[in-house]
Amino acid sequence: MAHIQIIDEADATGTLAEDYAFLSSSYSNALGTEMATPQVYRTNSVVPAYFRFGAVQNRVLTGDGAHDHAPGPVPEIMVMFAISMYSACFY
Amino acid sequence: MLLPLYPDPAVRQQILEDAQSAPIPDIQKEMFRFAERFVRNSWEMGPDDLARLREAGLSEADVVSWATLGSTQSWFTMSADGGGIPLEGDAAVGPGVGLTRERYEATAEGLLAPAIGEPVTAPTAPRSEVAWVGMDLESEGYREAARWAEDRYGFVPNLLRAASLQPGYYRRHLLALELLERPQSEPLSGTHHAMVRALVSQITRCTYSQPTARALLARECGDGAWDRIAAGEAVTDGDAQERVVLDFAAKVARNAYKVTEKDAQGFRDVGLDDAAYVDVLNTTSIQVALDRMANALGVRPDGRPILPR
Repeated sequence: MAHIQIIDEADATGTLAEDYAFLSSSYSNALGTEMATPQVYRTNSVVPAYFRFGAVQNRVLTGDGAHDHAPGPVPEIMVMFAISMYSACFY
Repeated sequence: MLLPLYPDPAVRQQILEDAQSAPIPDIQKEMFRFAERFVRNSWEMGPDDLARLREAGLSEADVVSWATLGSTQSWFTMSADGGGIPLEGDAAVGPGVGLTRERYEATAEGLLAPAIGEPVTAPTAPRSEVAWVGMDLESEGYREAARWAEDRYGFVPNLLRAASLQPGYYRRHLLALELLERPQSEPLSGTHHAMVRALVSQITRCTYSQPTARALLARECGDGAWDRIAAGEAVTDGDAQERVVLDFAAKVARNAYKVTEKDAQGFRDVGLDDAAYVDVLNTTSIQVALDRMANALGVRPDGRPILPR
């Protein structure tokens, strides 16, 4: 369990509900199967402005959920993994 | 995340132990080197760090892309650790490759950020006019961002110029700047928000963000507050919330993986709720994310704070 309050999809309204819907569709599109919004975004659900920031970052990273970015010299996911590794991010 | 990238478990283990000696292409080694410096001591980065990337085959746009991705992922890691969220079923970074929280805590101690009270030294690398990377100030993406900044701040921050080769990220950068202007929840005061920004910009040693953080803090707490925060002293006497908020911000900025449920309870014990906790977490993580990017790209300070007119 997260150690702070989380507002899940079922209780979300307004921009929070919109962003939950977008994130779920973005990940579902990427993985080809129905996906719920990952846990990492939910941390911020009690302050919708920050939840929106997570959603906007996903939009930027994925081309608004299309996942059609041109590949770089190293896969973007690898750069992001390296940042996580040196952050010792348990998640 | 690591599993599909490197199917061979021996290679994965070597990357986790020392990526520079792993049997991977040189450009990937450069990427790991860049990421390590970006996370652990971005304030020591200089033009030579970016020159290495160009020599490895990166274009100017690629260089900006790596710094931007690093900034984005920095926020994600702090958001994840700060919230204490459970792992996804397919997580491969930690337990999936045999690592545990105990292992992290034993080996990753001290991400090189200075302790409170340590002198804050400015980077010694030379500054160019705007940044150490190429720019494209003619694109529609840049111009749109510049118009937004002119309207809001009365000038275009150098950070936006430095990011111009990746205009697709402006939505993210502009929202980040906007969110940092003030608290986004009722329970967190403007005073505590300003203190957090000041403390974090000192920890990241970011000469780019410090003028803004300093101006914001002076507006809320007076001119002496900056030095008191730098010295680890209380800014407001008798404010039990101040120490809780600043200790948490410092922990997130240095070692977010050390955050536990006790930190959230600490907020509740002094009358702050989970919204305030999330506000401090994000003020810290957004500031750190932008500071690392500014440090890595050598963005020259603007000469005035990025605050709404």
